[in-house]
Amino acid sequence: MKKLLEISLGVVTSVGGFLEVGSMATAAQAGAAFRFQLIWAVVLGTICIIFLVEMAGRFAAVSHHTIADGIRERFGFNAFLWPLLAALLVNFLVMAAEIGGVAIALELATGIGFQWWALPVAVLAWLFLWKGTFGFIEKGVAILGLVTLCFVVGAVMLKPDWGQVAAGAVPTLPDHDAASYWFMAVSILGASISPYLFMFYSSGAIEDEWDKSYLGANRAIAGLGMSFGGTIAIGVLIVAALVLAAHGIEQVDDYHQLPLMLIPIFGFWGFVLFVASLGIACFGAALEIGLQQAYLVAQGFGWTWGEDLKPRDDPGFSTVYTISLFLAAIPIALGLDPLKLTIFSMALTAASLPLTVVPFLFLLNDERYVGEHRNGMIANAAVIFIIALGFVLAIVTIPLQIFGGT
Amino acid sequence: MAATLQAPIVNAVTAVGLRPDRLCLLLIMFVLTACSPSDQVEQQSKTAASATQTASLVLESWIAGGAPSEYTSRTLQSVGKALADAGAQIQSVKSPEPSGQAGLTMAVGRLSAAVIRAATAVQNGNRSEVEHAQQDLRAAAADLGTSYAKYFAPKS
Repeated sequence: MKKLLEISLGVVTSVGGFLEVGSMATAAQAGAAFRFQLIWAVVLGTICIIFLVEMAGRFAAVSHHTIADGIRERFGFNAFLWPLLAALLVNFLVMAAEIGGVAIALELATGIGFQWWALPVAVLAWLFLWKGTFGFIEKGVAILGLVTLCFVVGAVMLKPDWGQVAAGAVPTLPDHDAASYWFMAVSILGASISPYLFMFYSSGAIEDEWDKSYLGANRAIAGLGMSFGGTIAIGVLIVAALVLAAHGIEQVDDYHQLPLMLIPIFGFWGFVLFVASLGIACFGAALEIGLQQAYLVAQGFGWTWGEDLKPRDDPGFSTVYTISLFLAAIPIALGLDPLKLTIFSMALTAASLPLTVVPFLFLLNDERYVGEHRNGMIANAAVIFIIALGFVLAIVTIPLQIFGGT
Repeated sequence: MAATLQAPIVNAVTAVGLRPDRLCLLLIMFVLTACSPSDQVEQQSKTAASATQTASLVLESWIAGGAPSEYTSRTLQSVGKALADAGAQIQSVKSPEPSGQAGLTMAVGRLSAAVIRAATAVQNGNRSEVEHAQQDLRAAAADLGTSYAKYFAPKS
């Protein structure tokens, strides 16, 4: 019974972690521009993150190491420095985007410009991390994040042609705006396969003192939780296709357009649900990324770490999340468009994946860490294929997008 | 590390008879020529059409009581700005079809003006003025469609 409760909570937590400003914005853009044609990118990203999260939990439960810990120990500090810097940079951009997401939600709710909310959001997130415990942050915010299920309800209420939805799960070539299509595919992959998600998961497994008895629960949480999160992202894409594209809105390049996905379905409550979904999901993600930045640096340098410790007992750890949060608030406070930052940071995430994932795969195939629980061929092949695809597409499409391709 | 990675690429490029500096030049030329005047006009016209539909949907939602006034007004202001930008971009293109280009610029300008008027009317809570602006928006959107079809019509 206790395990079942833990699995349920784990699934809910995974949902909270999966859906954030990146997956919402990229799915909305994809649905508006290409209707159901990019569902395959969400499916592919979800399959990849299921494998990675399962591996992260298995690695932590069996070896009692976090990923950062393992990479530093296995490859040495110099080799660890590159994945560390890549992850810190990408996390910084994604955290700024999440703070931007909360700020947009607050602008929509109050009418006060988003840039004025960036610092108050950073202060509130810092207070949660300073005063809260890991369980409170992990489960409390994630349970509130279930409000994002409104996108799935909305998608069902719109009665889509499920045959066409299923057809979208099979990759097809675009018949217009090819560069934009592939760039969106990359952004969706980047939004789904966020390194912070599986790295945070491994740190969480250590915080929750997982051992080998959790391997079954880990598989269930990774599989069910990420599939559940992927379903919500597909819900966003379907709603965008059936509301925005159906009204002739084929370009989503302004965050004001986003609430229009739910208003025609739920009326005024659609506006409220959108604001709540965006605010809660992004705030939860900002907290998790703030913690992840601190985990990365503290584990990398061998400092004492743990969200359940008092800040005075792990001063380095708490200093890192404090600085990270305030630095990430600056671009938004200066008026950088959160939607543009989100899309760019998601594509950059896809480009940076090999740096964080490849050393991790080595660890998962190293008997000294995982013994008989090392990776099978299918898990290795699936992750390598999807990461390589995301990387190649990102390298090709990011310059085209920046230099004005269509 | 970087040098060891670069070497095979440089060798491969040289092997097909292209020096790296020329390859860079070719890539830059490709990027610069990728957007012809016609592509730019088409892209900006699509942006204008999508922005117009956004204004139309948010106005419908406001009239139906689904969208709050503050949000509607801000969305319309943002759409108005996007339309003004699209109009300026279309105008700045060196097009071989100046008369068609002028028609498109004028239609986008009318759209932008209608959207800004709607934003002010929403702010003032003036429903009848909003409905007038909505009609102007529909008329200007039809103009944009006609100008777009004329601009891209096959020339004999």
